[in-house]
Amino acid sequence: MELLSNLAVGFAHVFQPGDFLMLVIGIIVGMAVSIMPGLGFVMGVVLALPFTYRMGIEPAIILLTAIYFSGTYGGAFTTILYRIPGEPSDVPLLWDGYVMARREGAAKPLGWALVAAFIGGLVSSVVMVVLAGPLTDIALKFSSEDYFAAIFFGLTTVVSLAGKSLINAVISLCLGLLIASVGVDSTYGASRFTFGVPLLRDGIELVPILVGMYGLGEVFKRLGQGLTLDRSQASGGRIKTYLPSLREIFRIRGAIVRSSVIGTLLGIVPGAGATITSFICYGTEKQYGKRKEKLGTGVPEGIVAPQIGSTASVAGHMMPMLTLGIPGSASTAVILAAFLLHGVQPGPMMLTDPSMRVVVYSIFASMFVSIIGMCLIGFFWIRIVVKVLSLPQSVLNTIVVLFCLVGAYAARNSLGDTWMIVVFGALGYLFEKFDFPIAPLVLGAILGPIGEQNFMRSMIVSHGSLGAFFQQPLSAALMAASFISVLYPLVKNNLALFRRRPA
Amino acid sequence: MRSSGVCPRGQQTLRAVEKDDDRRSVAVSHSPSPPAEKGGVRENATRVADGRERPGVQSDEPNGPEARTTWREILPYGISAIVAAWLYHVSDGFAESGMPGRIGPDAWPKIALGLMFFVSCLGMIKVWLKMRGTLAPTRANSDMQALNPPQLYPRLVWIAVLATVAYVWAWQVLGYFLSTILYSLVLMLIGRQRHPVVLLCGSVGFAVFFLFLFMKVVYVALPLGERPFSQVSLALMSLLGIR
Repeated sequence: MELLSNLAVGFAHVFQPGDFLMLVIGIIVGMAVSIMPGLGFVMGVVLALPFTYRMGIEPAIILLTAIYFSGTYGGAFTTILYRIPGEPSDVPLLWDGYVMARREGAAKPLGWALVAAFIGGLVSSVVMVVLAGPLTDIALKFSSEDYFAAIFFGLTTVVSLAGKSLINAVISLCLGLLIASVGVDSTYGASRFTFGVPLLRDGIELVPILVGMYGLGEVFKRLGQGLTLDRSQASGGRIKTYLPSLREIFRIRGAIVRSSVIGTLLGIVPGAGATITSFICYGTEKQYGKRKEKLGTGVPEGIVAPQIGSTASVAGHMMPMLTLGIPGSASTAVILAAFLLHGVQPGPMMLTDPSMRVVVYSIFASMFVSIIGMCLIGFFWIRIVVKVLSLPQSVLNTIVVLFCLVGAYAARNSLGDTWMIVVFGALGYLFEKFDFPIAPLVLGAILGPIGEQNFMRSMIVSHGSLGAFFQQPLSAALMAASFISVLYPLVKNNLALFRRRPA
Repeated sequence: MRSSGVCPRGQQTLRAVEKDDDRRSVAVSHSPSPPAEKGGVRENATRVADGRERPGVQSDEPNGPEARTTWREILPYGISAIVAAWLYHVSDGFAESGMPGRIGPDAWPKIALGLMFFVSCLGMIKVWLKMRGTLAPTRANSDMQALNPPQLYPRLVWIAVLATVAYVWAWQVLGYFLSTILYSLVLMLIGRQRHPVVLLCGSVGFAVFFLFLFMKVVYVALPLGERPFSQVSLALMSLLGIR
């Protein structure tokens, strides 16, 4: 009952003018950026981040969450209409969504994508709201060893799931941890890696890192690729959405249930982003679905499974971020950065503090409203939203860069932050060029300080003994899971590579 | 992304790509340019323009494309190992701020640096093994490859980076408005926009829009520049009703 009353208060907050306006803007921005190939919802969240400085924390997080949610749905349009995946997580939609569109017109697969996004988002949001309380109760009992182990687990799963090369991911993570250690150390007050530069004494802010790596770096990469959009593969027919009947939806209930469960559970695992969840849901359907042999020929299951997976993963990622302060994806890392910019450390204390509890339940309520809002906009105004594709890429790139640079400046009116963003933009480009994943660096930079704090505390209390992390059952289990998550793919990949040794 | 047994459709695509790549690698060695790949995103036919080698292409030249690719692959690991070693040496100085007998402020950075050095060395070894032919190169899924085409114009990127550096520097001299007009023009030209109306309206329009948005709506004081350029910024601000 307390849960429902808290949620009711949250809904009341969401429908206040300021919060509701941010929610609507977030939905539209999220859909627009995810429709544009090469932009994506991560960049949408990153570009919006500097603007949240001047807002209250509630509208800020509502804006970013709405961008995130609608971003997982918006990419489906260009995938189905033009065979251009807006996001990597939309690639499985090509295999059935585009095929169905070529055969029957785009309206039906767009309808399936809408239904899938609605169901996936709703189910995972309900699960998240129900589990938030119990997870918070567990997290409140965490010792510093448990906290460090949880962060260690989060970082190792991100590393093991990020990109093709584990080595590159580890290097990226280490760089992120080092970037976070620039400035004054919180335990001893020692200056580290400042090299006498006053700008570095306060440490490196998160906004330049995020905006530089994801925003500027991405634009530089696209300039180098010289992309132009090829719409010659358009599926044809009018751009509209036609909803499937209840009977049709009931017929594929197995796929819906499987994908909802997988999407929500995988979303909780740090590093298992929308892309991985989408592929796994499709793959599971291909192996266990009732019509598995028909997947790839334009069947609804092939659209519903990956779409549910990617939308359901959003709420899954929000849960550890809100309850433990451990972001599960790049987008939730940016949302966590928004909390930190407002002086709030996400974690179990948020639900115990009455003023912050209202904020948390407003965010929960905004997720439900976002799901409904994005479906409504997708249904009624898709033709208008898709118009963003008519913007020339050169113009779009320029807008993004200008937003990035002035957004970073706007945070503290500091030219130093703008220079930082240029440096990280160049670094982001080099990362993309040499296939180094960015997510581990970002998570390392965000979680590094809190990880170090808990590590140092544990080591000081245990007089320098690393065994402290293996003495408690929870921390021992998390540490073991961390090592398995790193060693398993390492051993598997290297065995496979050696088996494929050329003659 | 390579699927690992959980995405059979992806594996089928992967196997098809492997067969395709084998055929195409033969075609590359005998034709001036590889066939363009369909995928919803049009790519330039001269894909190897940036010197990237497609897997399986053999070269007998010591300084040929394959050797250059290998050095290019080793470079980031080499730089990362050198930086890690140097910073490790720098962090020895942090221990002075600590307490005797206790873990100091150098511990955490040293753990990260030690791991970075070790893994960078592993990376160099892996590239060396690949060069010797002990490890097979990895293949990419064609659908994911369509999302991430190769870098065809790397020089343009560095021109854009230099232009961005010049832009940020120019804020203090020319002011935000004038420097944004120039920078937008340059960036759109780099992005191969050639329509004069788009260039002119875009550059001026962006400058006005961002000035208005950030100074009037968000209340951020953007740089006005030095005289006489600051007069232009002030004139525009009074026109837009910004105090």
